[in-house]
Amino acid sequence: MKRTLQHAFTLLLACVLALPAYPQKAVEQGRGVALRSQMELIHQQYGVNFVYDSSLDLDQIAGHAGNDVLKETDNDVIEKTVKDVLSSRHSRLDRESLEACLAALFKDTGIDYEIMKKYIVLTKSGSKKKPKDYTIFIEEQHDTIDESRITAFVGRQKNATQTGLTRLDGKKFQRGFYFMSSPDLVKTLQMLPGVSGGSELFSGLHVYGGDGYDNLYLMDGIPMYQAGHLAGLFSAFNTDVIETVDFYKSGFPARYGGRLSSVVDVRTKEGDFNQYYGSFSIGLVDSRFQLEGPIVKGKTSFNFGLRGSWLDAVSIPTFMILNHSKKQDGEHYSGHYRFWDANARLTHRFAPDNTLSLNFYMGRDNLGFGIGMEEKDAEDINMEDGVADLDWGNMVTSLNWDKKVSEELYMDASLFHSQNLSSYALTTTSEEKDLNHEGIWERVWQSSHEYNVSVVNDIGAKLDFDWYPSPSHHVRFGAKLTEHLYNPRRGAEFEYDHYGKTHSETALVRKAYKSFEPSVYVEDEMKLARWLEANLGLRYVSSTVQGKKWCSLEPRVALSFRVSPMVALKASYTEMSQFSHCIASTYIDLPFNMWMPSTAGIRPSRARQAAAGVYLNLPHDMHVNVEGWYKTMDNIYEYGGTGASIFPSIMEWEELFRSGKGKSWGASADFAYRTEKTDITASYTLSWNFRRFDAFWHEWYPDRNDHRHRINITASHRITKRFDAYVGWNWRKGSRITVLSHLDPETKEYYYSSPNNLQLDDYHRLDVGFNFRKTTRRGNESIWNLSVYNAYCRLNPFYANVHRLRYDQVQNDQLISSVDHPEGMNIGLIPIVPTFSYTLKF
Amino acid sequence: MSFRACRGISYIFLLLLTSCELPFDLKTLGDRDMLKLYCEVVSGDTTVLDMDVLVPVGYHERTPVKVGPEDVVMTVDGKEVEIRVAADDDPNLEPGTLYVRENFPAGSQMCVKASIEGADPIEAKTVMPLHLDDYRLEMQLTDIVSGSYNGDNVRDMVRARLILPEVAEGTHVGIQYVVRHKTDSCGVTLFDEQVLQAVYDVTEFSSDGNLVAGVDFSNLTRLGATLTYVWNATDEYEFLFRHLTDSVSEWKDENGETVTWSSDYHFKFRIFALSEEYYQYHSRTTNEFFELGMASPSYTYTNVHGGTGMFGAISVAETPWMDDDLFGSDGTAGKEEK
Repeated sequence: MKRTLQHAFTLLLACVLALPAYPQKAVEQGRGVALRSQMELIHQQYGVNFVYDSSLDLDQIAGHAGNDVLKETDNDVIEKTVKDVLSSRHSRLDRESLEACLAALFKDTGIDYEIMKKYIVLTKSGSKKKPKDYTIFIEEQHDTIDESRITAFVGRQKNATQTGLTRLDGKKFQRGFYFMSSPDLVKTLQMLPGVSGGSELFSGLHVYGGDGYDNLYLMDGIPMYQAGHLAGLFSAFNTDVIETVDFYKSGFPARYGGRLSSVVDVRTKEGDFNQYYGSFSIGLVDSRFQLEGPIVKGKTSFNFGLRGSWLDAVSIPTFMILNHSKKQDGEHYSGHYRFWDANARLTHRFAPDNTLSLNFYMGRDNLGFGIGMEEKDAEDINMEDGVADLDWGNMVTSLNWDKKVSEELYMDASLFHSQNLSSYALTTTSEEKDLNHEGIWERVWQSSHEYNVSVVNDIGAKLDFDWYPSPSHHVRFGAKLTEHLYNPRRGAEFEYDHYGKTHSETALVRKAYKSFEPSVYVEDEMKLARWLEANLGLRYVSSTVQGKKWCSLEPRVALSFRVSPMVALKASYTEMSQFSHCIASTYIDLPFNMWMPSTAGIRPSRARQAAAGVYLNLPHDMHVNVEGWYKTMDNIYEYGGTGASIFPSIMEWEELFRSGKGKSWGASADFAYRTEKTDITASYTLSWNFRRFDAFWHEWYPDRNDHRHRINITASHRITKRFDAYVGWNWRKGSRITVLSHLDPETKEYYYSSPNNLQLDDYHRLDVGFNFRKTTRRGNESIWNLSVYNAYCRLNPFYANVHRLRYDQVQNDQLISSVDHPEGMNIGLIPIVPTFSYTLKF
Repeated sequence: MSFRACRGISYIFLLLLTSCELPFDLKTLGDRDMLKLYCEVVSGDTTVLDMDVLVPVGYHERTPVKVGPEDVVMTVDGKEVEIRVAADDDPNLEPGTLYVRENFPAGSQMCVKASIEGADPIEAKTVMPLHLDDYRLEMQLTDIVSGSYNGDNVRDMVRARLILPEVAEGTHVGIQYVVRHKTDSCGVTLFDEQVLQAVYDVTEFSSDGNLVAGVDFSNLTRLGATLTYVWNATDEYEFLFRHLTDSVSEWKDENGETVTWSSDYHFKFRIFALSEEYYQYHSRTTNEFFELGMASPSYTYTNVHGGTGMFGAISVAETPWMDDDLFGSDGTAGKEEK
């Protein structure tokens, strides 16, 4: 291992072009290539696993006729097919070309194969053992198979033209970081180089200097506005239903648009068309259930996932105890929090190349709390009550039709609806009864109900085409039409009864916007030469609101220079625009936020980003990437009207929405080593991130997420067949915060010197997790997960402030002197958090 | 599950959420003093240059130097103006206060520079905004009822239209509603004037004419604590104000007896044009989320490069005192006020 690392390091320093072991061997040798090595190639390129009995001879030479076919299907064709696989969501294309490869490979070898979901089961021709006789639970466990299994997902990133692309499959989450014993997509993405998580525990995604509201989250191609539950503590994505995630930090293809900093393209699984599978999981704070299977075998399938919290089980007894202790004081409290989300997918295959699917997602959070007070005596009764109720979430619905129009042309048509809702309601009641001198109770009662609701509805249609005019061109083009309906409103109802005189008032403030946003794009992924690939694209989008039209033409360029099969140099340049803006009075994703469009007074945000990097795919399942970026952002916004109200102003949001600029640059290096049992990643990021808002400060100042250095190290290892462990450590320079920095000795007033003038202490944290796997008597798999977040309990500073302490010297009740003694305090909130969960897969 | 078990689980839950405070060294915030300049340049009046030296919190025991007139230079349209120091016998200014007594026409470009040892030099600029002497104000009683929670204390709402001649787009204009009691409940004439929070944007009222009440709903843009309604100027601007008429207030005291109080008022308006710096500085707001590092740093605004504070300009015009019998039988105030 050490020697291998030394070789890898030498290779990197010398930039020596090494010849890869496998693909060229296949080309050079043509004939005489063992089955096993060809299977390894197919595994690498297609991401499929082989399951087989050890009695099979895999060292035999690939079939005689197979050799000829393989010679024809040499690296170029395989790479072309692979590229289609990796960049397309057309799974039927995988299967067809995969079947062709397998047919050629195993011809006349005495080995039969059968493709079962993600496994290819090999059996001896004529054997009584059938593929279904093999008991297979998940890829990582193989109770009945002696041979080691090949796990998936190596080298896929190398094959993409774009910089900044990370592809994850659903299984990555099952082996990696768990938060509260629940795998979390966004928190996994936060571990990637160039990505900052913002405030601890919250699912902020600050990519290459972004502000967190400029990430395009797509659920099966449809944008979602909010990606988290409970202010981002849990992400809105149920990992049980995730098939793949494409995460772009730079080099955005032209088919994506609408946000500045990143694209998180989440694809959910189709249900299995032949068998039923499912899982159930219960953890300390949430539970998950997933079920998939055929409705009509081979034709129609479903996949359903449900997740919900049960924090009420803790909060309810907590408040019971509190109320019990406060009973004598006449106080009572109530509180609850719950979240749930549901994913459903129905897929119907009219034909292998003609599929209709209905996708649905809905997620909701509900938080409520209340305080009440009652004071009673013989002549006086005072009661006050206040109850707040917050409700927020997303809903996404789409109908997709995938069809092969011709041998070269594929179509994907969608109708969709996406909704984001946040609402807050506060009801207060007070009653005062006094016994007057005539012995009559007189009553003063008043009640107010205030509410704030923000709803965004997106309705639209899109049409995308994949066209393969020649082996060296993959053209994508399409159009999308979206109508955005923004509808924030705030209202109040007041009633009172003062000594028999009643009065009531109602009020409503609302400001609705309708924006019409058409877009078209075209991109061509082309192979200009054996060593040079390019993805050139152009996107045009416009937005019309209240008669004001904004347009944006966005070039997208990505180049990949294949120095050798193991070394690729890539560069990209992209321009992105954003026409929807989150009006937030705080940096936390709270249900008081609202989304608004670009208007005549609010220009669309725009980002320009250049990135370049070196990507090495080394022997022994290692890869090393070094990537740098430079990004500028114009017309970014911060809400400057905080004040006494946490609600952004509906009527004056445009005046209070301050426009500014941002710039960010840096470089990251990441290393990965992946084998069947072990997964190690390490990354280092060096970055600068600045903002300029003339309404706040007259110069560039460091952004709150200007973490100069970041290191992330993760490792997971399957120690035995039944036990695997995960450990992750991350360290970064502290976030920035604005604190009082100067004092007027005469007036004793404190002042700020500049925005974000203090860097908090370094942040570092260790997470560990363990999975204990077992096979139940019914042959199902059960997993006990134990996770510890922040294992050495470092209370990383969440914020800091300067306490304005003053010491008075008093003598004989007279003030002698008063001395200011300010004190700086870091406040850490998040201690060690151990959790556990139980999962059953069936 | 028993009550004791619930309690145990709940305590563990609460324990996990405890916070911890750890001190940090304030010296990391720097060791340089900082100059603070606060100056509101008002046309045709004395302009006070309030200049102080602030010490860093990590060195709070340090005694700062004083800023003298020799440390400060002020120019208007490139020409240096004399900076005076208030004498001990100056009736209006504290001794040692730096001030300037000049007339600043609209459009004057003003600049202040200062430097002392141990602090970064500062520089601040502003421009005198347009004078608003040629305004016109039209008023009409409305039928909007503004209720209150104390008995029948009903106030008239007046719709006013302020017409400003040739105001540059984007100029910040403010208005204050000032009242003065004619007499108190004992018939004694009072002269104290006070600025009232009684000016509203017309959109603050719902379609049925009710006031959008409550501080969370108030769209009144305050200018610091001066209760001035501020907007970006247009030629004509409509607003509402709560007209305190000669009204009778009634309420019940603790003995259940009805108390009656009547009052009568003068009122007037002050109309301001604000420089951009003045507006930005005084419209800063802050809240607890900002102190947690969870909100935008809007409160750090200053146009004093190298220091802190504000160097801004305002021009002021005032209406004469108006009586509450201003409105005729048709509810309009037909006079043009200047």
